[in-house]
Amino acid sequence: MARRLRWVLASVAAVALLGALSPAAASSPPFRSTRNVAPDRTITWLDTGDSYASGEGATGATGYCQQSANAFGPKAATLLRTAKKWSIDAAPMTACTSHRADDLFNSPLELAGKPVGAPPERGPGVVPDAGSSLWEWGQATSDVDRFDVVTMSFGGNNVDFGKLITDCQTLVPTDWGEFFSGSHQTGCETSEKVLTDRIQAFTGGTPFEPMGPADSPAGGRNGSLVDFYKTVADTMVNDKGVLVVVGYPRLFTPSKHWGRWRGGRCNTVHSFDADMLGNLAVLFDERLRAAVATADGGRGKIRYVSRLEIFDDDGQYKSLCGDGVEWLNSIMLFLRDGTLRKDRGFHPNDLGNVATAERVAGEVDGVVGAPPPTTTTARAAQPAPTTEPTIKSDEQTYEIGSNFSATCTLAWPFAPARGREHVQFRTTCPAVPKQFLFVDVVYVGDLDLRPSKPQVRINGVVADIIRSEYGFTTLVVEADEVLVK
Amino acid sequence: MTTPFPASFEDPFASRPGRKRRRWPVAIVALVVLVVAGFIAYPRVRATWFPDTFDAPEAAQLPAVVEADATRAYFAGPGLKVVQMRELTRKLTAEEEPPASLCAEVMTVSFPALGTPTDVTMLIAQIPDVSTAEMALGHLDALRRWLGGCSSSAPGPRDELIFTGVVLDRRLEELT
Repeated sequence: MARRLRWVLASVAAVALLGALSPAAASSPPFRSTRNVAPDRTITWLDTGDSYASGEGATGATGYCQQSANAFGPKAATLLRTAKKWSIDAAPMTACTSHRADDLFNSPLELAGKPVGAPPERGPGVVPDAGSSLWEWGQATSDVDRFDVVTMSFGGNNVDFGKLITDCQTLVPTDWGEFFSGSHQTGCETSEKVLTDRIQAFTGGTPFEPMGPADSPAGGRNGSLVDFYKTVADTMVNDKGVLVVVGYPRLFTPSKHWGRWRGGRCNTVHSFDADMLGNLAVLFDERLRAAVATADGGRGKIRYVSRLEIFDDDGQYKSLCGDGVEWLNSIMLFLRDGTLRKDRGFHPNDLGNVATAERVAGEVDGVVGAPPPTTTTARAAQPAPTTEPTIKSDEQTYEIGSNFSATCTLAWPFAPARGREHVQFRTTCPAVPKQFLFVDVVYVGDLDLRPSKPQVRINGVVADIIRSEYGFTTLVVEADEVLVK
Repeated sequence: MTTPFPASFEDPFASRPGRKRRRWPVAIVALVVLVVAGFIAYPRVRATWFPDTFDAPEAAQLPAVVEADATRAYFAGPGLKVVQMRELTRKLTAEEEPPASLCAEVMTVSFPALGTPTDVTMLIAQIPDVSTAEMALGHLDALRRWLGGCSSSAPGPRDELIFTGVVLDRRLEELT
């Protein structure tokens, strides 16, 4: 008995030790506004990457590339502009859904002449020329050779993750005959071994062929992922700038945390497959992190932001089918939001992008932000003020007590909450300054709010302005009238 | 030397001729009773304490309904077809092995009357309460796996269809 007890205690200790040594335990804490202040120059910023960088799945994503101002890159820039008064150029965005790491310098021909869907705040986007790479497209937009900040998320399409997910889920056919004939679909067709090999090949020493043509920063050389990161950091980023590489989250909460009512499936994906995808996400995260560390070589110029870590949230999983709010879109979103774009599923929603943006902003602030001034000007370097900011636009004043009138969009997946007398819901309002991430509305009475009718006209009074520790603000409106459109 | 027992004391545990022969049948009967009781009780105990995926759907804890009023109203309106879908699947699970004719009718007549698979899936996706929508989608998905084999010689697993159906029933009852 004593021997058995010792064995149990030793096992517990070993597990605890492994936990302490895991990447999550060793990682930096979440972003809190550093003491750094805004740089004394206008910052140039490039957002590039694949669908996880362009904002596929976020609200406002449009065009061929599904670019959205709510993607983590633009949102991180907005946080630094508003919370820390940074001056940042209208950054070019060349992130584009379905693109691969090698498309940065090579030519993704299918892009030519397409309406790419540049975020509204940047005005009409520059339509890429035939044969231009993402890099050339960025240059055409900005005329900048080297940026202060480059944010990117690449690799998911290099390991065919998108196709893998399509394989694993049950898609909806157009007629019942097809629906029933495919009844014995058993799940993911690609084995974990094959996928593991693919990830290891991409993140290991296998070179792209080549990374880019001779006239690109890649100089026609072949290179591995580490070489790719080094090339981007050395040729596209200023000496005092930063390259922020953003990884990929776990799509499904580990199945042992699912409610039993799900019957072992989440968004039609079997628990076995979901956990397999989770294992692969962990491996991918580890390998990307390691490649970034190797490429950086301790310089601090290339930083890694682990979306896996952010979405796992210390065991309070924000992936699909956890206990709480999900930061990823479900498979049903394209039917729910009326876009009929299946690709929006399994991509981060606005919350997931904001959470990522906070961490990205922290990394950028830590490297590019200026050190706080000493003594005489120390007061100016104080972190975010405790009193609410007064922000005014031409049309409307956003102060507590001001009248409020705007047309807004319900911010699904936030579900409206109902009390005995009140309905409370979260919206985004295009006419409201970008400083306000959301507009939370409280209304006395009942409302028929549905995802199919997301537009609402709100008339009321600004009741409060809530500022988070990260610096972004939410407007609270007591509505006298809500018209569902 | 004294003994603790009177001279007439008869040790009840001492073996006696005849009694030894009757013990074995009793032990065997007791063992059989134990095995049968265990056989009957084990699945119930296991289902309660260590449930498998499709055990005891009536005991699976459901998430709270967030959008009760809107969902109720939806099922009384456009979402009524989702309730009708459940009525159809209840017919299929009512019998251990539904006749092939019933399967064929459901596949070629009853379900097409509800709309296309995309229509039904869209109706499910529009259910205001997200967890209820997931329950309905899970049931449709289970049906898809099972019904394809219903009219052939290799029907899919029925447990999943029953489980997801009971879970959906419980949610619909909650909303009425």
